Amino acid sequence: MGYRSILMYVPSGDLTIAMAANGAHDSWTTLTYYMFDWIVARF
Amino acid sequence: MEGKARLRYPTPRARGRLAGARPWPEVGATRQDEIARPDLSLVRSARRLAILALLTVAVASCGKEPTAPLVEPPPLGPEAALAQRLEQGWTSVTPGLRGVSVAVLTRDEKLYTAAVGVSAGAENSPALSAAHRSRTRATSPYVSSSATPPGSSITSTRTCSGTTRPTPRRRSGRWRRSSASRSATGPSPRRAPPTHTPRRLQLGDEQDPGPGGKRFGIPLPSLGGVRRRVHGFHAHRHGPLRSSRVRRALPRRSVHGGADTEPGQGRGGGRTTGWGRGCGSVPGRPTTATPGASWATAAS
Repeated sequence: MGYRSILMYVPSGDLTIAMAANGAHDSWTTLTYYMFDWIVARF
Repeated sequence: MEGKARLRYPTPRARGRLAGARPWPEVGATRQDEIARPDLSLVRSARRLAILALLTVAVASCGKEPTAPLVEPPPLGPEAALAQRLEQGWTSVTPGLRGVSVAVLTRDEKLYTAAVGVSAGAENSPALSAAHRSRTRATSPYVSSSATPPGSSITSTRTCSGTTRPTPRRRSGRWRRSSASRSATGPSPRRAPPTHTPRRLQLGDEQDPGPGGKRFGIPLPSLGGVRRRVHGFHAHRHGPLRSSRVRRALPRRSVHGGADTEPGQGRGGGRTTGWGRGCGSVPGRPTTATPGASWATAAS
């Protein structure tokens, strides 16, 4: 489809994370985990 | 006493004093002693100076760091840290990706956003173009791919119009124009004949008893198959309680697909070829419904 997007919610931290990519990449999921772990620990 | 004193050998220091006190110099050893004494003192003083210099350097360097002082960077704010993290991930994890954006909504209702790369879609990106939107609108309302039997296209179910309800959009001139333009290049896949002939579900059919269809040996017609495969905005049109407005918009014809329709009227009612005569009256085709074909139960 040419883009990726994901919306995540962390109930324990009442945290909502939205990510979108303008393009497709094989490691999109890895980038999602990369950002998710850091955001949950940081915020 | 004197003899004893004279018999004693003088110590080297006393010998030196005696030598210096002599009125005449002794040629051999005395000369060497006079020459060697300044050399020793010079060496000793040089050593003292070197040690002193080393001590001075050591004392001076004590308390100072050998390298440049480490200046800690100022702490980043949440948004700057988020942007930095996103950029690191974008360059290391997904190199070559056009662009990524992220938004974080915290519990205290604060929104942090960051974006890297290109924020616009690709030039020919189908997902962000109007063509994609129209394609989604054209394929989404009717039959999901899982409910369509293999070998038959989406329209094969739809054109068997006794089984499903066409929407006013499909019956508009815009739709027909697009179909005509498509058929000009060749046979349209939407007009392909079905691989098997569906028929209306009748009381007593056992092909799809549904979740609670057959109890105590009494076969009950169930709409389970219909409800499973109809999704989205047009789901209400497939249910048993259609609005009268939608019912009025439909052509008056039997649910078997136009066998009682006058030629040239209705959707495919007067065709002599193909499967437009009706789902149950196509010559040369079996009239029995395929067992287990849940899409045939749409005739409700």
